[in-house]
Amino acid sequence: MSGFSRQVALVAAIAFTAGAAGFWVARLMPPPAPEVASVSPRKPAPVSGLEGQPAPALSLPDLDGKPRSLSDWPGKWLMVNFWATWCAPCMHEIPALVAAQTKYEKHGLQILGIAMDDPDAVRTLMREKGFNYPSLVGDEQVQHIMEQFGNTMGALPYTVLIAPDGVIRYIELGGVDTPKLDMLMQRFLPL
Amino acid sequence: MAFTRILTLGLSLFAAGAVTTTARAESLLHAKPKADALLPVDQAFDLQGATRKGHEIAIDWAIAPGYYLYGHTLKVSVDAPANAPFTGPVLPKGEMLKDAEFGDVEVYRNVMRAKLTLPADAKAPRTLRVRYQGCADIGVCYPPQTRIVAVK
Repeated sequence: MSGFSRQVALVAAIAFTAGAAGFWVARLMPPPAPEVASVSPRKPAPVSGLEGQPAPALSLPDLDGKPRSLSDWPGKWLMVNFWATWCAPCMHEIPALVAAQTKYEKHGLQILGIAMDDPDAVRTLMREKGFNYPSLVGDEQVQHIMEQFGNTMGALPYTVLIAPDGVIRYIELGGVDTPKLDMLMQRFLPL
Repeated sequence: MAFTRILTLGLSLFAAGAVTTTARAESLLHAKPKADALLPVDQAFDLQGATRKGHEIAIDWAIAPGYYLYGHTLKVSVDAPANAPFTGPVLPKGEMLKDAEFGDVEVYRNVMRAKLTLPADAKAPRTLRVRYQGCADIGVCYPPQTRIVAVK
């Protein structure tokens, strides 16, 4: 075999081996996640368009009927949690929110519930669940406020983290748990 | 020249293998759902109307896959004429959902039909006020919805 032929054979062998190895590795990897039918519910990504933007102003009554706004908690990392007593996923996340309020209060966290609900139902449930953070209440007004905060579907729970400078830093549609809250606090708060 | 062609072929084969591998890895990294996939409430729970047949009125919903309506939160009242009597709503047996907070609750997927029964000698309702509430399997719930429905 001439020198040139040997080179050709060598290159061909390398190419074949490399190509085969690529296909072999590809075969070993799990297949891509199947496309979900367009009508199936999928959790929308955080409404990133609002992250980095100033939080809209709001005014809602607390459980004593006194109008409150976000400026009533100056200098705080406000975690606004939209919820309701009829919303099972909202109920499930309450212990984690209560724990986070206890753990991160000294670092500037203030959780603020906004309930789309009847004040009496909210008052009773807050007592039962041992809330350590306040909640405002409303009905259609809450829906309108949620839309301003990017939740156009009106689905609950919905959580918005607002920095002390009034800028929205994070939005979550769906329930949060302790690992997620710890991650958010690590990421955003001056711990 | 033959050598160059063979070299090019070899590199192409290598690239094909590598690209396939990379594509799989990318699809795993980006297997997250797309945005905007949560349906508006009226598409998730499509209230199709109320139909009277003799002394019975049926109220029907078409429920999108991955969503469910609660049976216990359904409320129906007569909108007009005021005080038109009826009994119900009665729902068929639904799916039992075990919830850590609410216990065993009956939910409906795909379709829900609520039935009202009218007394034989009374005026039939022309419009009904229907209140219902449901959730999506991904772990979010929609607020209770109230609709006025004409009885056909």
